[in-house]
Amino acid sequence: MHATEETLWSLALYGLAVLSLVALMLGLSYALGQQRRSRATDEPFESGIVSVGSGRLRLSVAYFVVAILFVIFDLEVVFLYAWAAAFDAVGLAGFVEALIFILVLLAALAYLWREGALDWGPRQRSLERTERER
Amino acid sequence: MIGAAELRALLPLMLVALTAIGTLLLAGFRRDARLAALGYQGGLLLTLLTLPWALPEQPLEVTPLLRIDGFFGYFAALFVLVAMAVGLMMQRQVRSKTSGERVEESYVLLAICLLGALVLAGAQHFAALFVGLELISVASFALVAYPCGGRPSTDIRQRNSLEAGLKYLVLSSVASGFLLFGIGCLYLDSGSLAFAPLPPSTSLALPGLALLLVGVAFKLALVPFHFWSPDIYQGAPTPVAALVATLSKGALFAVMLRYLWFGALQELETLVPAVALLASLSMLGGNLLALRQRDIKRLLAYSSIAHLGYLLLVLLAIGHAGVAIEAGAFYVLAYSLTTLGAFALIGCVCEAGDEPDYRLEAFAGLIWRAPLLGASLMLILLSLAGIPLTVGFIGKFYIVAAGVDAGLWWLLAVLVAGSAIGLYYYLRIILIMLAPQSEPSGIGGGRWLVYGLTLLLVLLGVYPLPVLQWLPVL
Repeated sequence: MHATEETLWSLALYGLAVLSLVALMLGLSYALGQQRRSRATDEPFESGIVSVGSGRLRLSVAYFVVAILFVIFDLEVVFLYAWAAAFDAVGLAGFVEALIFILVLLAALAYLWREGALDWGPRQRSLERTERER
Repeated sequence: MIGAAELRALLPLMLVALTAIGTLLLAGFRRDARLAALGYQGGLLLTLLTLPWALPEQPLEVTPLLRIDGFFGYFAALFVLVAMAVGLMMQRQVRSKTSGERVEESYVLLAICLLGALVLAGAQHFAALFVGLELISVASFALVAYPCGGRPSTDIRQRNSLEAGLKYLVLSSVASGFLLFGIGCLYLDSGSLAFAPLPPSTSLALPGLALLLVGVAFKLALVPFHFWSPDIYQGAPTPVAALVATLSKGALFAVMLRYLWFGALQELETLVPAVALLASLSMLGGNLLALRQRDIKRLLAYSSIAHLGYLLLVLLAIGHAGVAIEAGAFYVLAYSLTTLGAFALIGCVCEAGDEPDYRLEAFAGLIWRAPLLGASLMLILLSLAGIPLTVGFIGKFYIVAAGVDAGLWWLLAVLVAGSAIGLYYYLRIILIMLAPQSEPSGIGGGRWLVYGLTLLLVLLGVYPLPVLQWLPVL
């Protein structure tokens, strides 16, 4: 109990020190630095080159879908790595459980494929097909 | 180790999971709303029918996470029935709106919600609690934002549900964060995630329990953590609002019951003032805020806040009154049944036209337009108010009995005061309904669900014995 309180105090002190250091740095640069406003002040710094065009790009929706798919399968791999490391220890039960996990993801993949999430580019053939059917 | 007995006990969970996957594949390979609904209802019916067979004679621990016993059985049956009713409402909603939206996925999400609720009903471990809660929450985010009644992303009518979905996502995640931090504190304190009494004299137990309480209060929408709930109810499609009001709150309440029952009782002693404050604020605040509402869905949201306040009384009584668990279990049933009836009726009356009309005036002259529906509405409102001959009365009676046993006198006084305030706005709707009809408007489909739920509500109010014998006891 006593030890916890002591560590909590030191943690609070540390937090306070961090805050005051940040405040000091920001405050000093605000107080000592020169404040000048000119035409180029608010422009983004691009290594001395004047920036061209807008920063707002139009990305194809397919990019987003692929990103999501990547995250899903990346996560799957995380779980499978854990399983692979403990393959001998968990035995048959672990194998069955991992199999169920993979099969569920496979069902999700099949659904995504039918939805046209795997078609690259802005034209999605399977979506068009469902439109035609309608 | 998982053997045959454990697999048999897990059957309800596996069947619901299979329903979710099966419906997903059906949705992918055959775009047919009726087929998806059939698959969903069939899977749930199978779960319900095999539930008595699957339940073990003695309480059975399946892994350290889940405990399958009578408590699980009661709540599992209740949640499956609630999910089936919500599925029926969803089906009707879809049939009446014939735009080209995709509805099959909603059944997948509903099944996932139900799976989370079942996990919560059986949880005896914080990991199971969190997994179950997140299953419900993540599926609900998508369901709340579900395009009902408009073409996706182009129709202005979808804006409300999108806004509601985003709000729910952000606020619910924050609440999950609180909950997780609380669980972390408790784990640091006791070194175990199982539901068990904490070791005595520790410094992190109180902050952990307090954070846990904040997270739970957020999810249950108790005053002062209630601000999200009216907006979500208003924006979400009506069946989903019913789901959020009944299934997710009921499941979380069930798991809290089990947590307190399994040993955190003496920890509660330190939290009694906080829980009592939450309960009384919810009972009074919910009812007072509902007084001036002109929107039926917002009104129901505030009324549900008040009902959850009544339910908190059970948590306080749990260590002192033997009847507390029974009272909580029965009240969840009464509240779910009545709320489902109310939302089914809203779907039937308010969404009949092209534009949904959720003003209270939409009910004007309902008793003359559709006498049976009007009578149903009256019974549902009386049940919400807790008037005899309805299931709401039995539920409230149980809670008062538990409160008297535990000697929570001033909370009972608040309950009576809150109920008296509540009576005012419930009766106001009945008055609006009895008024002569101002403008003729149609009645949508889905009456049979309303009739069925109302009939059940009255039957259980008059003769609750069949359910009472299934109630889990301490």
